[in-house]
Amino acid sequence: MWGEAMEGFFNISLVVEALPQLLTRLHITLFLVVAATILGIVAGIIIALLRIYRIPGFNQISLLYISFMRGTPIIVQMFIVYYGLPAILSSVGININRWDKMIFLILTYGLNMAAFLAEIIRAAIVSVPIGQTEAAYAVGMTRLQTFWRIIAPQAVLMGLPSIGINIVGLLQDSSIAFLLGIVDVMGKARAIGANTYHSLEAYVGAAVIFLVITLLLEKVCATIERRLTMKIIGD
Amino acid sequence: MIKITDIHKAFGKNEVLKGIDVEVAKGEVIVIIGPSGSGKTTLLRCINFLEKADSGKMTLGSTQVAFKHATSKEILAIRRQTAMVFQSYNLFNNKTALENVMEGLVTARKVPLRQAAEIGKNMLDKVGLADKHNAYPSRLSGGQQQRVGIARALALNPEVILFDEPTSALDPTLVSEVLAVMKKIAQEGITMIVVTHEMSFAYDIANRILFMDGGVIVEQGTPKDLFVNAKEERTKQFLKRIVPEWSYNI
Amino acid sequence: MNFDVYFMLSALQESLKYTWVTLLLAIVPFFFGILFGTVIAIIRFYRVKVLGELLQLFVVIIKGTPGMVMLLIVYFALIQGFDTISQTFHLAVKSKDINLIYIAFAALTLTATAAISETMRGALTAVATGQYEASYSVGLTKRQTLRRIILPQALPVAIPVLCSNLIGLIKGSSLVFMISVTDLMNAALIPANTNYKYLEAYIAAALVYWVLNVVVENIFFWLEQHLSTYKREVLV
Repeated sequence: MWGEAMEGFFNISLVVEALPQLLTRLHITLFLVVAATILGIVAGIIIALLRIYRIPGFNQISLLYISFMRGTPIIVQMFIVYYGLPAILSSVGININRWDKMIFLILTYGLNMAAFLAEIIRAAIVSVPIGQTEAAYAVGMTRLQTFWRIIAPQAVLMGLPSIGINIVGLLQDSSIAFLLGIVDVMGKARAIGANTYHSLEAYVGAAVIFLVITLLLEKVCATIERRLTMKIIGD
Repeated sequence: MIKITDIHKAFGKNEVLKGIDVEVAKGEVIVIIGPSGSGKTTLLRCINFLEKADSGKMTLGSTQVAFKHATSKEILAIRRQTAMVFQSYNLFNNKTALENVMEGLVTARKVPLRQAAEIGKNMLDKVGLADKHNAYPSRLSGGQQQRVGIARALALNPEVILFDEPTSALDPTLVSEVLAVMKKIAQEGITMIVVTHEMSFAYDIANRILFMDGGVIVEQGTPKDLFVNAKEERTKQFLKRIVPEWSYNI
Repeated sequence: MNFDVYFMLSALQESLKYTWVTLLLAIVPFFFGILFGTVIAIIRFYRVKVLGELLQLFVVIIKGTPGMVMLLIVYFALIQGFDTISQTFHLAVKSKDINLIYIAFAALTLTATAAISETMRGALTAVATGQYEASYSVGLTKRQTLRRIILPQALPVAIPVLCSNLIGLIKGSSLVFMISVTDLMNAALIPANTNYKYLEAYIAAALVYWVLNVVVENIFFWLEQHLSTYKREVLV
């Protein structure tokens, strides 16, 4: 009797059945993560450099931006972008109501990531010892040469672990993207749950996928870190 | 060849250099000694503009600059005629020993890669690191790192090499290997300005010793003049305090 | 664009009324997270056999599961599990009688425990081994060493990370609207359901979260200064 009841409550074979269906939507999740990461890194570097070189007026704005992005839930940011961007753009005569929802998601996650990365990148650049800059100047290198040839490679090493953690965080955050109606892994899990009345198994299946991708990502990051460390400082 | 006139430098209210004149001839080895805080290092760092002096002028070869108003172009010109060996080595952590030596040649002076590698290898061999060309700084001892630092400076073939307490950060056992290299290049007629606390070494290699205290040059002369026949009371006091260290090294 | 400021302000008002729910949803899991997380960290730090490895597995699984997924799994597991049990034993209580906030507490506590255990483990590792050796050398027991020497040094290290843990919880608690708990975000959204002015509602919620998190950050900054006095004394 108990076993039967248990079966009705949680049936592991349903998880196994759900997995292949969920995996058919994995590329949507991964696409979002990759696209947002690229946007986040590019925007993050720009913000970090503008802050380091103290571009007048920009410092306050970027601080405010970073504080907002870090201080509010990503779900709120997502809906503000989704409802706010079309409203702003339509007031200047641009109609983006037919844009793919994915674009709003990439923007949200990318801009969110940029705020976190900007601080990481800035800290990484600042943490390279001043002696490195002095030595570069002493052999007659210009500011730009010093930055690209000496500072940046070392900063990459310092920032890499945190960037990896943020990419994993982005993957986890992507689990709410389905609220906007895209059918990624989570969207598919919800659909399976609605069709079969076995939501628990569907979401456990999604959890398994997130867990495996998280572990893989961590492994990849660790490998890249090791290889780059070897390549950059030979240790 | 180098002529510095009336250089002043203050950090906030703390006046570190109070009007110093120095002239260095080609091939001369100048050693600057003095208590810590006397402005020795600051003087060195002002010469290649790692610090910006408040006033004064400098002539280096054919370049003439006023410290306060030097343009970034002039600064670069000065830096490309000088080289520096740092107390904390400051090897580029992301470059091998050979790449460290080549970096200034290739990037700053646009020497072709092959030629730069050639020079770099020669210099590393010269400082006794023939077997460490491809080692990264993290794999080198302090003494080895500093010798790469010296090779890096030598490779640039500068008008003058500035040594900023090159052995102060080293393990006592590693000091001699660096001093030996410095002695060797001093004998080759390379112009050097050395800030150091190694008195016997100073006595050995200097053509002229400057004693600095409180932001001025108190006394200068040949090693013998200074160590044996110091005229100024401050010099005698300083040498007296330093003698145990000195005799220990001899 | 027509942005309804008055509606935003009224949504803000609704948000503020339910801010205590958000705080509760963050602080209760935070508290239990510190409690359980520290215990897990200590067990793992001392590499207790079997238990240490099991806890590591637990932490890896929970950390690898996004908060949203965790919340939904706990929700469906508890609801269905509860009904299964009450059916089996012919009980009168049904899952719909459970206050859903407890489900939110359970899910958020799981997430918090895993995250904070990592924070505490990091802090324990950050204390130099010399400190342990010195403590043992003067005859302190493991427990004494932990309480008198290690934890006081580890705590200041942990504070900034704990701060981001708490901020993560405040933000993460916004997901409870999924299971119809009314927190500050859901409170702002409810009036918008009739007039579709969602942008105003979300901006109102964003403002409250923002202020809340800035305040939390400042409190922790003050705490950090306060707790690391021993460092300052050494420096002076």
